[in-house]
Amino acid sequence: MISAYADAIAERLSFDRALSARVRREVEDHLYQAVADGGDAQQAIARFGDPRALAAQFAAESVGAQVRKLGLTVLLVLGAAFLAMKLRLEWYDFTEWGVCERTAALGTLLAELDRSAFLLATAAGLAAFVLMRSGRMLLFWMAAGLLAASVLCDGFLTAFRFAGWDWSADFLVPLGSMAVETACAGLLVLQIRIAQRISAATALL
Amino acid sequence: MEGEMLKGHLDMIVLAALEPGPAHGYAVIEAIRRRSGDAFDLPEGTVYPVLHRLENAGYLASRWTTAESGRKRRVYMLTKRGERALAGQRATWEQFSGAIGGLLGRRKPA
Repeated sequence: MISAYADAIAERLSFDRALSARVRREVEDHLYQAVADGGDAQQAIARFGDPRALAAQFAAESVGAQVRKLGLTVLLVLGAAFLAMKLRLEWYDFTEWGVCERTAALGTLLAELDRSAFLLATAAGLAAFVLMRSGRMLLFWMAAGLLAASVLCDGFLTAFRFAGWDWSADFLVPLGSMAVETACAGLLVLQIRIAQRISAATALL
Repeated sequence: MEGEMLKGHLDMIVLAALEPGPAHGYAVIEAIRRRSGDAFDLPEGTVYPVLHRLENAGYLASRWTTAESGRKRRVYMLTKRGERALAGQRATWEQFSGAIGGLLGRRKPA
C-alpha cells in the first residue's frame, strides 16, 4: 500500500527522474517510520495527503527552473545550429564542393526557405527568451517548428551536395553538422515537452 | 489552526523546526507538532516540497543517511544562510505579532 502510494506521487514527477526517485524514497521512509512508530499504514497515508496535490506542489517548485532552462536552451540550440550551418558552408568552400546542376534550381529555393525559417526561428526564440516569465509555450514551439523546418531544408540541401559524389571522409563534416542541427532541434522539443509536463502536473494547485 | 494561515509561514516554521539540529522529514513534522502543542494540522506531505524549496534556495543542505532500519533517509540541516533567514523572519514575526497583539488586546471601555 505504501509503495503504491509513493509510486503514485513519483509517477507524476517522472518529468524529473532524480526528483521522482528522491521523493519516492523520502515518502516511503516517512510512511514506514510512521508504521514503525505504531501507526496504521492507511491512516499514515491519509495524513500524508492527496498524492496529486503533493506532486503538484513538488512540480510547482520545478516550473520556474525548467522555464529558465528552456530559455537558455532556445538560445544555445539556435547558436549551435547556426555554427553547424556555417561550418558546413565553410567546408564546402574549403573543399570546393560544388552543387549538382540538376538540383541547383531547387537547391536555391530550399536555401532561401532555410534562411527564412532560421531567421524566423531566431526571432521567435529571442521573443520566447524575453517573454519566458509569462510561461507561455507558443513562442518556444514556434522557434522549435521553424528550426525543424530549417534543419529539414538543410537535410535536403546536404543530400543534394552528396548526389553524384562517391563516399569519402569529406562527407563526415556535413554529416556531423547535420547531426548537431538535428540534435539541437530535438533537444529544444524535448525541453519544451518537459516544461509542459511540469506545468500540467501543477494543475491541482 | 487554518491551513491557509499556516501556509504563509511554513518556511519559517520548517526553518525553526530544524534550528536545534539536522533532522529527516518525519522528525521535522514531529518537531512541528510537538513544539506547536498539536496546533498545526497540515497534511504531513506538505512539509516535503517546502524542504526541497528551502534547499534549492540555499537555506538548507541535505544528505542521505542510513536509518537503523536500513532504509535510506534524507537528513536536512540549516545552512548559514538559513540561520540568517530564520533570524530575520523571527525578528519580523515578533514585531508583527507585537503590533497585532497591541491592536487586538486593547478594547475601548463601554
